[in-house]
Amino acid sequence: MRGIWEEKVAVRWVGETKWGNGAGAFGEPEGGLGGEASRHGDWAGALGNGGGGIAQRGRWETVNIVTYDRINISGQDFARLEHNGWLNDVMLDFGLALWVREMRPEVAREVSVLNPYIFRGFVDSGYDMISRLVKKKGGDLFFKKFTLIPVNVDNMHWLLAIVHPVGGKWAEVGGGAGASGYTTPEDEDDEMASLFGAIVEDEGDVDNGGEMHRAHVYILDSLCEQLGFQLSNTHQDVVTHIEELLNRVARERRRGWGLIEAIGKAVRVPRQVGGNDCGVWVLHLARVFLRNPAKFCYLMTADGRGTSAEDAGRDWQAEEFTNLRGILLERIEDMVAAREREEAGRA
Amino acid sequence: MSTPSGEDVKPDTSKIRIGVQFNGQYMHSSVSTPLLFSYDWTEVFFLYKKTKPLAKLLIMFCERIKVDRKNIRFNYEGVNISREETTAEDLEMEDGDVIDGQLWQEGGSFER
Repeated sequence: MRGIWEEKVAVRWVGETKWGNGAGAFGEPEGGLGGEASRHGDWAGALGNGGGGIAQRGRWETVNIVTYDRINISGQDFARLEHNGWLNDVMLDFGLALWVREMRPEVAREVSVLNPYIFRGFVDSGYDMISRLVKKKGGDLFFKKFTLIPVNVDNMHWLLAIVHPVGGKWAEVGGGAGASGYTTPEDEDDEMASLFGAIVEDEGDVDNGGEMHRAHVYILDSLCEQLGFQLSNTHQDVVTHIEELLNRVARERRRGWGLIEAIGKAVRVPRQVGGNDCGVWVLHLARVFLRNPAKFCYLMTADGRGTSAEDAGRDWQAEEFTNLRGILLERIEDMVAAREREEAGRA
Repeated sequence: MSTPSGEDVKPDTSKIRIGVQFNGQYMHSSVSTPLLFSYDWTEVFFLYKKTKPLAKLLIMFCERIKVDRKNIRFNYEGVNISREETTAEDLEMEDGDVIDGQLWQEGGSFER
């Protein structure tokens, strides 16, 4: 498998970049997973002067360069960002964790952001895979006013799905205890409170206001324009899976709710340029959405749609997109520098 | 638990059973050779020390199902565990808990 891997690497991102001749910058070639952690410093030091050659990559691809909120970013994740490559799940996870940290408290109350592993885990292996997570976080993780789900399609494409309730008791939820896939600043204060919140949930209450629980699933796909903003079969599959997921969680945590219906809606978002940036677009869309969910909720519903491509670009602040990779790189480099300073101080 | 001599022996509390599961189908399309990897549901339980780094266990699992370690993400409670030093104690795992493996995801666009 190594051969395939290297071929892929060469084609997708390393091949088109200029690498310094940094051979020999990385200690021992062998060592597998264990032991490489101790050589963080080598890799971090090599960041500044161009890294190693292509032949060197196998050595540092699993080396963890920095850890943020339990997300471990390795050298190859970083290289994807740096060399205009396709983003992987770790980078998506990291970006979303950053935005969640920056959310205003009133937004944090009504939004939940899932990491890329949850949805994929459910699709691949069923509910068992996430049952423990649901037990720990409670249903709040899935039944907020807005639930952001980054979705990977066929290991080729990223898109963002936003679940928004429109009918039934769910639509009335304003917030509840802070629950999100990531730790927010205030989460740390009342972690106990949210744990208790998970235990005392409404069960057996069969009053759903006489209305079916219904949710819109907005599909934000940077390649959706080609399809004339209609849902493709792939999008329908995503919506179906999300519906399954919601129903399965509701059966455990919201017993009175009955069946949940999910209605897929395509949203007009700016079109991506080139073939590498859909992961970055997902991060960008999540970022601007989290700044003002109410505004984008209005835009995404029927009232706001039918606008032109220019309108979409302005609404979703496309001009900010261009330096998003730079922002993420800067954040990682800052963290690496901070860790180096810390280590130097300790030594 | 008792030995033949009748003395009570305390069960070894430093070790717990840790399961690792993996299930997935993965189309790996490189330029020249499109390959389809497909794995059936695999779940293996290990008796493992709480304070020992999980990385070794995960490599053992990968060897058993014959997949390269770097092609799989291992998650516990929806959080990726990729650090070499992480132990079961850090993650507050209990006896019988299962680590979920999934193939890694990436994306750029449908177009090449």
